[in-house]
Amino acid sequence: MKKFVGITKCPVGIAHTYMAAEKLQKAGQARGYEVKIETQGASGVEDELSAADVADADFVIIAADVAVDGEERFNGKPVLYAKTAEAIKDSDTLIEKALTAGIYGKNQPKTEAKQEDSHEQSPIIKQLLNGVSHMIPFVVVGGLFIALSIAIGGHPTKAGMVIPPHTIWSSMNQIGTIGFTLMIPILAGYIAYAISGRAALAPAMIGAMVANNTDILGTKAGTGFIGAIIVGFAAGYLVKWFNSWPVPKDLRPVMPIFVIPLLGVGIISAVLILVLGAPISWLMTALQDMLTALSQNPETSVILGVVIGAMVAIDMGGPVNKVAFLFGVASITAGHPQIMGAVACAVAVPPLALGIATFVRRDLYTEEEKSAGIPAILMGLIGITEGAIPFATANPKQVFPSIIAGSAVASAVGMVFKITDAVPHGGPIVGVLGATNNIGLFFLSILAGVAVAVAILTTFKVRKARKA
Amino acid sequence: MKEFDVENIFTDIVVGDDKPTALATLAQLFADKNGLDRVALTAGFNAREAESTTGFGNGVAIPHAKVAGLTQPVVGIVTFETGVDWEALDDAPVEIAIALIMPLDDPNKTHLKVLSKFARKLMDDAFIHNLKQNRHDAMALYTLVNDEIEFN
Repeated sequence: MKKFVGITKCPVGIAHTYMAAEKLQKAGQARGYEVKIETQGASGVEDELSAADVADADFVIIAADVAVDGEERFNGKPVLYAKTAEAIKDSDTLIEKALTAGIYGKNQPKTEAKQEDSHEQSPIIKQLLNGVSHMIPFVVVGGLFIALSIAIGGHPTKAGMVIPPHTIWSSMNQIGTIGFTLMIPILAGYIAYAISGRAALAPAMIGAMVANNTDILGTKAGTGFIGAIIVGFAAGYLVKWFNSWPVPKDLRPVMPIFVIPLLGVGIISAVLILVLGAPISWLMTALQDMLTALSQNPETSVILGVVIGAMVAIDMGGPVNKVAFLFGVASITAGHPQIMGAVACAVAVPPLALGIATFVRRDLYTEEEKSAGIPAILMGLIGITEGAIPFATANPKQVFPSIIAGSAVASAVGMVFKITDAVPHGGPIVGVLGATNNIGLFFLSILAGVAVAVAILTTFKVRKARKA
Repeated sequence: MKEFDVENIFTDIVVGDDKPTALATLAQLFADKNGLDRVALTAGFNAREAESTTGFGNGVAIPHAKVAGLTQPVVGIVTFETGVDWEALDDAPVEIAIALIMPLDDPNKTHLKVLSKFARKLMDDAFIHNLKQNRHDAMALYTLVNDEIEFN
């Protein structure tokens, strides 16, 4: 059903606020809209708009003679500003105008270009981007703290990059890890929030943590950020459905704080445990068997490299990446760490390539992406693949093919050069710390992958820019 | 007296030709009847009109003001003998004024709720039509409004 929402507010707050609200309601209903108007009058706020109301609305009309409270709720929605008198006199025209109103939060009045924008972006992309933009600060803080603590305080050992405990670097590393841990629920939570508001936060955030908790799932790896995206959408639409239930008026206040979160978390968690655990375990075993088969024959080593590289990039920290990584670690333990060498080449490629790509054609990237560029490069140097996640989530169709190809090339070239890495960690840092057998060729392998990824991504981006 | 009382309905009043004179006349009527400060009430009406006109169209205006010395709102109706240029939203002359006089500090939400309901009712064209039909008869106006809105 067509729906719009609005706020009315006048200086005294006893008459015009309500007259304007009534007029908008009548005019909207006459045109077949579901209408909800929040009145900010002398007796306080009535018919307060919930996040779900706003999410469902096609557009927003603010009819006010003074500044209204809570305008930021309408971020991303077309918002029309008017006086209460305009609503009282002719609400019909206001509704007409609101159909083409500018998007809130995008320097309003210059509507033309913005409209195209809003037409182009499907709601699903907008919801995804809401998650990504909230997640980016967590990735940046987490990634840089971890990267710096490893770069300065870490020592390469057989157990990985070890930072001596009770040092400032160890604290810094743990703080960074908190950032990375929070990234998952924030991504899921704010995707769901964009779909159905506050009540969806708990199911999405808790669900995403469940989807990455190996003890609860009974698997060797969580689902990473891809799982978080799926949980975010699932929780969002589940709660949207709950919100459509006809609920008696008396129960309504407890729905978003009690009933919906409990039901949502219960359902999402149950589905994750019952449906997700087994396939992940199966997938991981199958992938591992495939790698074992490929590694039996030295002639297939290049193919093994391609496969491992692709696996590293495909879910950046999820179960597929984990299998490749553990397979590499196993090769160290077995005494011929060549597979770890291939992994070490591949892990650096996604963040390095995406960071560098923002400098190759700066005009093709949003401000947000540009500012994430340098942190991504730093994370790449330290071998933290997660630095690429914001880019990949925001633009999966272009980014995934590029980084998968790039990582595959880096890892295949590494195989050809017979790079070894004695430390279960990757990226240029392990070369600098002397864990590889040939730092020059190691860097060359990474560079080859980065070049391929940047070239593919830039081609995609240019083509899309031309089309638009 | 009640919040909305038939004693505060004045019909076919000569209020003057322009809005300031009309507002002064309204203030005089309500000040005398309810024991309020006429000057303060006039100033209050004028201040609200200066923000934006209260003539919302259809020949009806809702001048309102806050004044000291009230314990509850006063809702009154004045019908004019001849239309007054109120700079209304539809530029039509105003023939009926519905005055809302509020206590300076009214924390009582029930009063405000009633008034907001009344304000919404004014957006009902049929209701306005009925008001105009009964503009010469105070008792009829009183019944009409009271049937729609439950005043305290």
